[in-house]
Amino acid sequence: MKRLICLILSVIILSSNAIPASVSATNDSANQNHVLGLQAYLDTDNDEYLLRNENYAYWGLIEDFESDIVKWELLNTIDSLIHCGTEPDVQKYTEVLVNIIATYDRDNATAISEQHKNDNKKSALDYAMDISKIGADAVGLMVSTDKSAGDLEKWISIAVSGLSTLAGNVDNWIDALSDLETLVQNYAHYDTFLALIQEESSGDLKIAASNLRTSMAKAMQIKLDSYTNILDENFEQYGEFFFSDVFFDALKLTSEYDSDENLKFFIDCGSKFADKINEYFINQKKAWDLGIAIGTLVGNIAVGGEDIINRLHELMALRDIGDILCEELSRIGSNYDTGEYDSIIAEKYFTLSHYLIGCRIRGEYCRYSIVASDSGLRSKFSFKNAEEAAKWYEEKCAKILAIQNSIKTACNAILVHVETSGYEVGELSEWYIYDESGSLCSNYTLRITSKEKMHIGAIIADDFTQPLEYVITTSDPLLLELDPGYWYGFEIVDNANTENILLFTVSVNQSSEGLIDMIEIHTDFCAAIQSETDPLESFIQNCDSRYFSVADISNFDENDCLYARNAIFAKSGWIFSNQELSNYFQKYSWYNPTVTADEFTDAMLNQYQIANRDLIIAFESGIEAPSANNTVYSNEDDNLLIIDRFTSWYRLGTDEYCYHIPMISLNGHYDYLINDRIYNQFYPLWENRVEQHYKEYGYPELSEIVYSLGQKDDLLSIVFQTSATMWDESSFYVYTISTETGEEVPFSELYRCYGLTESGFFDLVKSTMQKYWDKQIIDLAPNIDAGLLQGVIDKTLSADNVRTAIPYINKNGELCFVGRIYWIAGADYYHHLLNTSGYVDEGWIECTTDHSAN
Amino acid sequence: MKKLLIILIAIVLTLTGCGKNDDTPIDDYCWEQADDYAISDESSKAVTITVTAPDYAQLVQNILSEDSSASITIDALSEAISVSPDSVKEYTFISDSSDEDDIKAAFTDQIAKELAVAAISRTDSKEEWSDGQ
Repeated sequence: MKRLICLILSVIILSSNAIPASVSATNDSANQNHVLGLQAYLDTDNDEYLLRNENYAYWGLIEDFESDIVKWELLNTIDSLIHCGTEPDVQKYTEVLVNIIATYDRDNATAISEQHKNDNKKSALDYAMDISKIGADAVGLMVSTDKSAGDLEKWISIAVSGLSTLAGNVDNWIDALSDLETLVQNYAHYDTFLALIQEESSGDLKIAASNLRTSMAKAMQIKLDSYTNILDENFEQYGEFFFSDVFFDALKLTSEYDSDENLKFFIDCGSKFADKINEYFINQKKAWDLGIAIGTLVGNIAVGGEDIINRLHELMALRDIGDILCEELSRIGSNYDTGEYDSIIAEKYFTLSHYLIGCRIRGEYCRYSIVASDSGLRSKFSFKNAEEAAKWYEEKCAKILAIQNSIKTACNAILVHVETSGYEVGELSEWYIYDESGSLCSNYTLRITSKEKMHIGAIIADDFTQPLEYVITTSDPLLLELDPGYWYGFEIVDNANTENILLFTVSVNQSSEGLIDMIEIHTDFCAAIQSETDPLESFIQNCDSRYFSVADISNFDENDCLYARNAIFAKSGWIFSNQELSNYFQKYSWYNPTVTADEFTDAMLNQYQIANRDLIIAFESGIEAPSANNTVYSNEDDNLLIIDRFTSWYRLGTDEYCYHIPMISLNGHYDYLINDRIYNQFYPLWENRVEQHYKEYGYPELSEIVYSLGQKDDLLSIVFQTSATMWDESSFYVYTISTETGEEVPFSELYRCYGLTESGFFDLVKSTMQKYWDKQIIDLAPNIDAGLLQGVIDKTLSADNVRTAIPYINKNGELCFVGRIYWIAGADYYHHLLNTSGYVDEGWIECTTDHSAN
Repeated sequence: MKKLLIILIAIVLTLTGCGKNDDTPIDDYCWEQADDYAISDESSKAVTITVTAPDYAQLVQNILSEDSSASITIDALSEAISVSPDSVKEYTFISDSSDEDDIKAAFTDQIAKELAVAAISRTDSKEEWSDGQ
């Protein structure tokens, strides 16, 4: 550490002409922010959502997979055929680890860009202090691992000495130093992650982590050594990304590339990533998006294509790595206490959380890609088609990204901070209050709201009843004297906006010789904490980052709806002409009114904003609806309805009839999302069917349209089915939704409702199909070849076919299903709606609209 | 007559199986059981192949349903084929070229893929988003 500090000092001396004259000693609050941020994050449910393995389908799939000896034997057979191994090998583990690390490297891009903007405002001294602190933090983060921390210290010192050649050119010097900061920070994170995996794993994963760690250390050394050659002409090559094409190209020219096999594998793997990522994001000017694009693109670059066996191995690797991360995060989280102030632990927690997020997103992507690419698996996992599987993945990404965002908020939200000149017992100390941009506040009120006696960690008396208040209108420091041995509660109120409040507490230790401990909470945190219990606040804060349901907004009154609806537009910078709304949104730091009504287009809204806007609008109209009951469909909207079943040939013509898709009304509110989904899936299908018939026969026609509803307990099933002709295969959609939430529920909920397990349901399907054929065979046997008939019966009753059955509730509350019945002519099979007696379920709803009037 | 035919096929298959031993790679054996393949699309360098061969995913599952820890050997496959001679299917897959070695490799990959799908099909996917409290 001495070497590092000496070199930093030498840089300061080189740049001494840029040092400001009056800088008092300050307490940097960044570390405290991490400590407090982690506490706030742990107080939410998000850490539980992230750590709970059962929340992730990929984890369940691979756990279940490995618990079955038959599946292992199948893998052994695959291995005999293509020699792929039954488990991930060192190379696969390495690829997966590189993927996780490289993703994190790029995911920091936004934060880095922000940091660079701020860096340009810094003086040389600020910079020297920063690099000193960052170097120390990096070494501190790694210090518990092994000698690599000492190595890093040495390499940083070499790099910093190289930078002195740029000192004459302040702009380049700052850019290069800024990049070095980022590089060092990120590298410390990679090494912390790999050290944990190396320590806690065994077998091939341990070897992979160890090899990768050694290779990355070697690469880092080469990178930092190269700073001795930095010049004004080439400083741009010293970029902030570890995974950059320039860097990996340089690595390929080193002698180590040819002599060190592990290093070569890492360089090739990293180089592939760096090349592709540049091509995709820079040349195509795509924005970095940790979610869907990263699960797909980045993972595939580092770990390979869509091969199903490759995916299985990757899932095993992700599960193994994720389990180690979960265990460590649980351990830190359960022992965490801000009283034991330790920013290094907080930073480690956030770092490992990011890596776990990477595992989760990539894991869900692998599971999705396996399932979506095979029709049998789609059916088995309850996806009607590839689009539905993709939607599942997108929704899962949104959930994981909400956690990611909360971690980022926890890391970065505390921007307003307080600094003091240091505290001496019995003397006045100077207090500086800074706003989010780093400027000194000059118009605020500071209140001391409580003063409580400390006694061995417990409060024994509250002798402070009247708040003390200081109204500050200058940027001069506030002078305060605090008594040792007390906890103080502080509140700082922005005089221009009294809802903008910063809360923090201060403890002055009994034996203090001049130091104080501070804990502060930024206003954004106040809002975040409030949003946990306030549905409107939650909607306003998150309407552009997640989907809301009717259940989330069920208690909104007219006023709440007004604010919620307009918050969606406020997030996009809408300039409100309504003064009340304008004032309302001014209190949010994110509100930046820049878009006039004329300039505004829907393209300025993201998918969440659009869905939530429509939800609110539908909900508002639901509030006004006079009829409110739990389960009935309604057909007020004559433009959209379709409720008929046409059991015979039917000529379609707009001048003859109108058609309806009912809106489902739940708990008195129209649940927009489910209705929208039904409409968007069924209506185009229906139109295609008509068009298909028109193209083939020259006139439009539909053979049948079925719509049915049924309820049992809190579950409601809706079934649509249609076919263009008598002989083509029918299409159908089944939705089973909770009447409480208006959201779709998995089939397992339906089985549970009837006291069945999944296998029990499929046994029931098989016996029902047998009953169906027992009835049919009586009529068919005399006329049809027995072998032919037996063939279609066998196909119908085959395990694969039985497992495609989709359960639903018919209008009598009975469990029915849509099953594939193979047939001897026409389509291979037809979808039948069967009840458990083996009869076709005739629980459809007859349309009561008088169509002839149209 | 039909039974007689089945018995004859079984005898032929069994005899064919007797000629095998586990020194023969299993992929070679699987390829030998396939009928002549047809190239259906040669419009690009990669070609689409269709071939009828035993339904290995089904046969392997049949073997494992009898004994879940059974090893899948050529003898075990031969016996399964003799017991279920009608368990055949049409495989359609893409090969890098019309070269027979490439087609055989793609065929083997296709069987491996179907075995993997069969294995995953046995998996239950439980997913319940909650904070665990």
